[in-house]
Amino acid sequence: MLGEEFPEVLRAALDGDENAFARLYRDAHPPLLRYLTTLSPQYAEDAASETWLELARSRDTFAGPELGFRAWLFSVARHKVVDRVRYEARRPSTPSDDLEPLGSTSPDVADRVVEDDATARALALVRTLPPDQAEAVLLRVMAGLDYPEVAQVMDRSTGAVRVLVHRGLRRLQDRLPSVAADGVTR
Amino acid sequence: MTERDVVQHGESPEPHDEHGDLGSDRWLEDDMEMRALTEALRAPGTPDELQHEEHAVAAFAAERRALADVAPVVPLTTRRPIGRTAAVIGGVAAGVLLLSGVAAAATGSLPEPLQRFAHSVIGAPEPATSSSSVTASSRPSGSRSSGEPVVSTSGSPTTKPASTPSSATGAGAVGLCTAFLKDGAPVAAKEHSQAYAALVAAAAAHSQSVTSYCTSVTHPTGKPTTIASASSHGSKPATPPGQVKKTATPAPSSGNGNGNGNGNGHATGKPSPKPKPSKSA
Repeated sequence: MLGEEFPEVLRAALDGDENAFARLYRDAHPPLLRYLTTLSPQYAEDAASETWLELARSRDTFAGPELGFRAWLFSVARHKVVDRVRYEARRPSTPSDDLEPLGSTSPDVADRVVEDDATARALALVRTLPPDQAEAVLLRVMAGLDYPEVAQVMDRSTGAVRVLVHRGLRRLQDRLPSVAADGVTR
Repeated sequence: MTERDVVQHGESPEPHDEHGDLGSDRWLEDDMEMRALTEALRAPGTPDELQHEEHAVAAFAAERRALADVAPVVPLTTRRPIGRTAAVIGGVAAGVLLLSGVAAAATGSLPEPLQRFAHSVIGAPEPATSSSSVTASSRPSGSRSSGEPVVSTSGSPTTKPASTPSSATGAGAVGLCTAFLKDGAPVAAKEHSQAYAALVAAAAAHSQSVTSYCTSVTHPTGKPTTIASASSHGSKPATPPGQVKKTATPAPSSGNGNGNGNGNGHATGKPSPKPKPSKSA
């Protein structure tokens, strides 16, 4: 997160400052990509690119806080990937691997995207969760959104996403030792 | 990055509330393994993840430029002077156009009805093919008498069919004459040569020098009445026919209304990126 500098950086980026946009991108693109890859490894890159373009074409200035901007970003990205998955699923004679539902990412696919060992393992672990739990945990813990924003992005109630995050984290906690033995935690 | 926001938020972790720990993530901070997991999830981007950065930056900048070309987003502070400049340009252009008409009238080169009109309004030569039945006006085709308001078409003296063009013409003449008298011929000739030529032509039609013509226009002393009435209209020659301000799009700060329903209750303006675990469900 860019913190207090965020409004300035975003404003400059929208004014065409390439350096400012690069800062924004470097900060928000990795979590966005990790999130999208969890939803759909096939279309994650496309959806992320389209999301940034959507921002480029936006006339909004996102005068609000950084979290509001992130919520917008993840929300747009989610729509794009969900639409794409639905579209591909409706196409006749679609290869069966395109019909893979959201969240059914296998860890090895995800590993291709992220080289960093600890990050890759952490993501792989999260992706063993039920899809909606994994999504809620990533939005809350990785993207740093508050519960109402997670709820907004996932189009669920705040209470529902609280439960999802809670259960997901508890489940992760139970599974952590095996990962820790693998070296995720120091 | 503030990777520890979630797990380290709050220095005094509360015991579980009535909802258990559902509403709080604070238990995470006691768990070193979960903390490491969180940090790993929030780690900065890898080169692999950022491999398309250059392309993304270029595409973004190109889109913003294209957007700016279609409708420049002008900051409020600079928008107004631009509007004023455009207004002034518009006013000058209007004056030039109108005086071009005056010049044409002065040389008698307008179509017959227009020339007749010009004759009655600014004293231009009468149309060559004079027919006395042009207007059923209160004033037949007799010679123009000074000091008498000219009502060309309808019989009502209060209606002003001639007022729009005449006052506009007057405004154009008055505006350019004001500029001429103020700046002097060289400036006027240099900057508005077309307008200056029109002034010369209009003055010549009155057998006057430009200076005396302009003096009579801007300071009517019972000279051509229509000009006099025009000058009352034309007391504000700088008023453009239309404010040319619509190039800049308004609403640069609409916040987050982008069709994605960003209307959550979080527009609190807090700059802190810290997610705050809420205490109550």
